[in-house]
Amino acid sequence: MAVQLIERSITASEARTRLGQILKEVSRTHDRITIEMRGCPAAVLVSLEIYEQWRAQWLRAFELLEQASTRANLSEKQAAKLVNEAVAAVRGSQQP
Amino acid sequence: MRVVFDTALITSLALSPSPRLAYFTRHLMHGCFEVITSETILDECRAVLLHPSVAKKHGLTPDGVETLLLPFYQPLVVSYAVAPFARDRQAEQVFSCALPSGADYIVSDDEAVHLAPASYGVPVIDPKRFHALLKRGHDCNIPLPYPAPGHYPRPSNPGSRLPN
Repeated sequence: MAVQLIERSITASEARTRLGQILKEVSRTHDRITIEMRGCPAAVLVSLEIYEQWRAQWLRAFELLEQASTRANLSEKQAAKLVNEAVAAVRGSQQP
Repeated sequence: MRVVFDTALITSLALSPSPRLAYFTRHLMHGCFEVITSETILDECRAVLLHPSVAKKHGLTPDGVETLLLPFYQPLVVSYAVAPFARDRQAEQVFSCALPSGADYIVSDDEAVHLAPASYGVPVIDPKRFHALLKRGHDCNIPLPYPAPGHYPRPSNPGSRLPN
């Protein structure tokens, strides 16, 4: 089931002083917390569940990429030719 | 290392199991480099992968195509219009993505992209050269052009102060 993400930012010093509390909050609410250093986003804290979801999606994408390329089984040259024809067709259909 | 792949290269990854393309896929999966894309590039990749002649080869459903494109959704940049030179659509797409994102390289086989002026400051290399670059990095252990995450050299004396 997809989890809805709520995003907010905190400073690095707040993260340092309230880490335990923030960790509990993140794992309970699945909020995504950006930690900023000197006003710039430096890291993002997410719950393990969200991280696992992202990781699973990431691995699934590469699994599909491998399956697709094995099924198509074209040489680089053949793939480039096919893609260039498709790109030309796509661009041609988008011309005003 | 952050690179911009053109539409042809991204979509070829789903069509050819050639050792070179598989090498790119594997290194991308392990985070050895990042592919920066824009909405324009992704829209075109989607359209190409769903084009009947291409879809017939890879056999993925539209949902499968969406999932396959996920690794290219991040980091995504808001591209801006570039250059009077970029009359070629491919060149315009990749440069308008590479310039605001500070990409290290543009990887493309497209002749028009290679004709871009060097003053743009983003080197354009072909897939063969990119492959050599990754290989020279000894699977990410050597900084090219800077270390991949998790591969920064340890200081010889961890207790010593860093230079100012």
